[in-house]
Amino acid sequence: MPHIEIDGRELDVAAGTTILEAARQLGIYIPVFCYHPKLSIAANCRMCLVDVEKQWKPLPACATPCADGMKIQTRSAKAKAAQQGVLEFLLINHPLDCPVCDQGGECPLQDITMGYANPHSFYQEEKRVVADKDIGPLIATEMTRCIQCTRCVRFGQEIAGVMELGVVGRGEKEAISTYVSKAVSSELSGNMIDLCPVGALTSKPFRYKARSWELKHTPSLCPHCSTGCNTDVQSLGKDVLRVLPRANESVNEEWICDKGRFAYAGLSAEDRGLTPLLRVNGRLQAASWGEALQAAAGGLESVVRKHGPEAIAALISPESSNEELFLFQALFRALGVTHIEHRLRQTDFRADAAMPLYPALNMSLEDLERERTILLCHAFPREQQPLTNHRLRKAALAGATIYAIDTVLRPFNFPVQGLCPETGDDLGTYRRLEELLQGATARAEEGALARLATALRETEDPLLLIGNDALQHPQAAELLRAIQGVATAAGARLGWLANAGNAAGAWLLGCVPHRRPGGETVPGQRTPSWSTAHKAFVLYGVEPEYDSLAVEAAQQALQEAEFVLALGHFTGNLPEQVQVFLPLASWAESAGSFINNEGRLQSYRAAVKPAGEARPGWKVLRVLADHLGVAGLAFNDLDEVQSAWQGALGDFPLDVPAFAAFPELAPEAAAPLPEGHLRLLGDWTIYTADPLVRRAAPLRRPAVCRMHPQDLQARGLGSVIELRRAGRPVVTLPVQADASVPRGCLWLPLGTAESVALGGLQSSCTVGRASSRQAI
Amino acid sequence: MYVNGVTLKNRGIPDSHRLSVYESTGGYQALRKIFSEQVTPEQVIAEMKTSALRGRGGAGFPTGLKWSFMPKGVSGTKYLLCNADEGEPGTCKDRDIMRYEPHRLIEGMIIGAYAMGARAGYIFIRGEFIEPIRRVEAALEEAYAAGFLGERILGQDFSFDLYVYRGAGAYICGEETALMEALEGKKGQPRFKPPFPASYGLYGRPTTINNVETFASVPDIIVHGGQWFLELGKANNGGTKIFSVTGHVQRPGNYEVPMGTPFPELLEMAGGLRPGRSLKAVIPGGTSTAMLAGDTMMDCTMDYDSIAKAGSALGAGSVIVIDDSVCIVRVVERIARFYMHESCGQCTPCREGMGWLWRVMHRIENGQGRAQDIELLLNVGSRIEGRTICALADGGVAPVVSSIKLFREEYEHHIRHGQCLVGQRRAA
Amino acid sequence: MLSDQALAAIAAERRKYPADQARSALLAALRIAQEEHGWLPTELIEEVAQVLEIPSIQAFEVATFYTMYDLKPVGKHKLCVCGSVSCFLNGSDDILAHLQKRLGIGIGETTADGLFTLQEVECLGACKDAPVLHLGDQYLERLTPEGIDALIEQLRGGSSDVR
Ligand SMILES: Cc1cc2nc3c(=O)[nH]c(=O)nc-3n(C[C@H](O)[C@H](O)[C@H](O)COP(=O)(O)O)c2cc1C
Ligand code: SF4
Ligand code: FES
Repeated sequence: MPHIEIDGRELDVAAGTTILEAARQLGIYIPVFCYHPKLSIAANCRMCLVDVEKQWKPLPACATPCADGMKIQTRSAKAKAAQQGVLEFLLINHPLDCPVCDQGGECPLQDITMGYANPHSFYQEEKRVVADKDIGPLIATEMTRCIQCTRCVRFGQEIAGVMELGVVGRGEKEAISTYVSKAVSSELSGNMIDLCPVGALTSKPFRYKARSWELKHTPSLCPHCSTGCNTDVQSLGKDVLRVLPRANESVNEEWICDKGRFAYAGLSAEDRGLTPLLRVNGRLQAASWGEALQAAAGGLESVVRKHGPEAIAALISPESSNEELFLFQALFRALGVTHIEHRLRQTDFRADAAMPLYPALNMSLEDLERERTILLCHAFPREQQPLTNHRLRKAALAGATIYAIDTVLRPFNFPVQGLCPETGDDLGTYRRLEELLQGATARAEEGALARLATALRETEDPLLLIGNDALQHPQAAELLRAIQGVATAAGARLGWLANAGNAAGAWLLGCVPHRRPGGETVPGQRTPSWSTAHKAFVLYGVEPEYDSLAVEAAQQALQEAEFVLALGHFTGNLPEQVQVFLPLASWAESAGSFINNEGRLQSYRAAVKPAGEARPGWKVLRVLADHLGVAGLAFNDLDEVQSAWQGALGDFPLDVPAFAAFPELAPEAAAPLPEGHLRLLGDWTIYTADPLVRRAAPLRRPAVCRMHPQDLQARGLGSVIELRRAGRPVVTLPVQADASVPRGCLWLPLGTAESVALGGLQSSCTVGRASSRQAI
Repeated sequence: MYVNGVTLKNRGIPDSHRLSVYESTGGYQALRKIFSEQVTPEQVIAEMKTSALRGRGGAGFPTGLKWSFMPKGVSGTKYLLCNADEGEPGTCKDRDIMRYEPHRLIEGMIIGAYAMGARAGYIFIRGEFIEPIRRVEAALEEAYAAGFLGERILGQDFSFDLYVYRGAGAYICGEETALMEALEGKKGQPRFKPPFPASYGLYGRPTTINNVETFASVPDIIVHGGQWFLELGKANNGGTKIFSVTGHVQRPGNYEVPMGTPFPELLEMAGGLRPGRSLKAVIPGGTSTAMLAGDTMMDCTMDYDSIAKAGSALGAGSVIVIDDSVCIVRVVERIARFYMHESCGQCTPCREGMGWLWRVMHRIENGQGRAQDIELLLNVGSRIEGRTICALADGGVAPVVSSIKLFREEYEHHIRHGQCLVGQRRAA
Repeated sequence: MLSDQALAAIAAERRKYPADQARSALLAALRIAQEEHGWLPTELIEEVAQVLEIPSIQAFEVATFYTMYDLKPVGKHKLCVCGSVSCFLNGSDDILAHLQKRLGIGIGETTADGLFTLQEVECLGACKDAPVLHLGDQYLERLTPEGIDALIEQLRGGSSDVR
């Protein structure tokens, strides 16, 4: 343990501690630009130079390890002269345009200049001007302000795992750039904005919107995936203007993904529902809350009277808060409704009895970094849970071997040994893997699978993680059982990558047909959500066509419904059968709590007032209960709702068995495809994940489908194709060759206008060359 | 003139770059001696220490000591690198060694690899040196064919692979850690030290790097003994050294002479000054070293200690002679341009400061100097010196500051009158 | 754009380095690409990156850092005159001025017939032979204006054996 002295204060530090880290332990401030605790040390800005006894040169505190007996001065004349000198160099080519710079007020260069600079510069030569590059819709560049600290470059390489920015040129001509103008594509790119210590990289959507000191900060949570990243929602008046990460080392460290950062832009979408709506003469028209609530209650009551409460399907988004989820099911269960569901992205429910209490990671996110052998089962966390993926990436960098089995393999940002059978028989892959684990002899062509079996067998305690794609699989039940078979045979632990922001809450609080809050089983047979047996639908925060796997079924069921009530944030994608619409406050406009993938309960506060006449969901549900004559839900404030759900749920474990016993699964033979048809595969992408994200203009990306290159070639297809399905409009989409798409399949991004037009993934389609390059 | 020549002694012999010629003049005898007399790696290093050979790349670090830093008993590959990036203005000796004595370099590296347990090595040659690259590559081929390189060298339990790596145009790659970065396929940007190459070098592996001339000195040290080499020169400055004498002399060239040779003798060998000229200044070790007044230089001997005592450094032995025909501001402006152009760009003081120095120098040279510019140059220089990752920036400051010290009146004249005190500026 | 020959040459370079260090071959691969194509257009740099399986920005970084890569088309003969101090002391400025006059182009420019590009470069490491010029795979040393005239004539005449 080196014993050192900084500014006259002594301390013992662990071997390898740098001077900067030691100073921070003592609360001594040393200015830095290039240093960042999460990035490798570059020591290039030289701002942190300090005076070390017996060294003629001042040394960079960020990079110099403490040696025993070192005496360091951070504010001696020598140290100050060095720091001041560096600052002067940084400023000579800086435009000093603080008044028009978005970084103003939160700029380390500005702050350090205040504290360290020489009041006047001797520099009288011409300043350097650096050409800007368009690097996409998220990050605005003003490269003349850049001080070449290379934080952004190191972030891309080390954290995002895709190197898109670099330093091109050399010497004073060097510039941060993509070289050829192109959008940075990393799902974590927005963090570079936070990392940039000057105004060179700023938020494009936030540009010129406000000065940082005017903004109100509200600690919040990101609702867009099950990681549960902590955020700081920044607002001015009634508008959310920015969402930044809030540091929480055990959840998101200090990052958030671009979806979480920029989705707020959707809050002010044109189709934001600002008033209650009633359908009059076939058109939705503004109505008062009173009228709308009455109509909603009336509509539901009449269906109950005619068909009984079982004819109502109550569907809620798994991004709703615990409070909303609890009240929602309480209200409809009280009415006698049995079909309460949050899983619109699943079609096979035969394994329901085997499902866990809730989809839990069964470990902490931090522990994930220490895993050695991981098999991802139908999971693409890079898009679905980006900051959980970051932990996996750290595990990989620390030497973990990561495998993936999926129908289609997608681009991970760490090395993954992927197995995706060209035949598309993903289910068979798991089954065969189980056999191999049980000692079957591998066939010659099974090299990769055999190696995986060996790796699983030889690792002490491998981990299997089940992803979104598993539940979305047409044979989800068999797939899950096969995964469990693999886990058992391998002696592996199983964890779930919960597939939505509050999927855990939705399960725990009984928003599934077969379980009450706390998991108590509700007996009885189920019908699918989108069944014509349902005569009324309640849609809470969901857009049936955009959020369902079975688009065609949804459309049919709605077609035949007698009454449809929608509660939500947007009106643009409301099905035409909706008779009443009740506008809900968004997550930024109300308070609540979520349970993340680890089982961590976290709550958030309202950052701004609800838009228009929108109201927080828990209040709307409470009043609706009133109108429906349901007693016992007349909570006065959110705390009461919280106590109620916590009372109903009780303590829940962080570790839950991944599966209960599987029921008998009758083998289902897949229907053969018609001649020349392609099987449809697909997933929601990071930027189509939910209604808010889909409306955030900065996140909009053109939809692109994918096919196996040989299929493309065999059919003589170009870069744009037409997708055809009987009784549907022709859909035109750009297509990308992707050898991991099984032969005879077409991969489609879901949650898009194109996937809706085509009717989702339910059946097959034919493809042909597009006559022109226009979209549908 | 090359009586005591070590590293360039075969230069005059036709085809001296071929293996046959090298062997016929005692080449690869050192390597054979090591095997036949079962000289241990420790003994090789001890001999190197005795020789007082100091690194010929510029810093003059004792080679034997450097070799002893290489960790022993580590698993995995250790690397040996040769720095043949020769790019400092005034330096042009490694090129001749590679052109005329490539095998001497190779043999030196093989012995180094044996002493340090290196399994692979690269000779990093600057990209413009096409002829030397071809010569070295051809020599490597010959050496492989003759069993001096590759698996089980000369049937011994010792293997070493050696390759040429071509640079692509950047002076900074001569800095040893920048060279390693370049070898890894990156921009040549120096690494912060510690860790030092002996523990974390190429690909993060233990690595030793030496200059071409350093390696080329090794075979004779092994054949004749460290003591012999030491005695060629003087205490703490063993051996002979090539001095590249350039600039205003009648016979510019590489002169390999014993360490400690008086400068006037060296100047004489290089043909002396041009008729009618007097010695104004000398840059004794390449442009990164401080300029010395002609008179001071005439009292120096050519070795590390004497030049250091005079306030400069021997560097790579690149003696740039400047006579009284030229304005010092013009010379230094040209040197400043070099450092601006060659700064790798990572350290703030170097990236911003080198250009600043040049701009002020350029302004003065072009008759637009300002009264405070001399102080400004010194001030900017003081804010660069000692505050960067590598020594390039210090090297860029040295000529400016030292020339102001020696020839302040030329600067002042330039600023006051907008033109040179000495010599003629060519009309633009 | 890379020919099979170029790809084979790159593959040979890769073999000099450990298997997981393909990036080490980047400088050589860019050189091979440039030798074949004359200069390095963006797409070619990207192709090199692809061949070595590295992010293209890493190839751009390298291509813009080192001065021997030409990111713009250059003439058939690239005359690189050293302007560093030893050459300067021996009249490199006059050589450069003479060349500009003879070729009718400025520094960094290419003659209309595409034959010559003129560049001033920093120290070529041949200071004792100053003034020096780098042309293709050779150095021309102790240049004089007369020698330059002869050189230009010879190159115009189609011979590049100018030793
Ligand atoms: C900017 C800079 C450029 C250098 N250029 C060279 C060079 O061209 N050749 C060289 O051998 N050493 C050069 N050096 C010195 C090397 O860093 C290193 O000290 C040397 O190669 C070690 O070899 P030696 O011990 O045999 O001298 C340079 C150093 C710096 C700071
Ligand atoms: S001193 Fe200059 S050349 Fe050396 S590392 Fe720093 S910026 Fe690069
Ligand atoms: S913070 Fe230490 S050099 Fe930049």
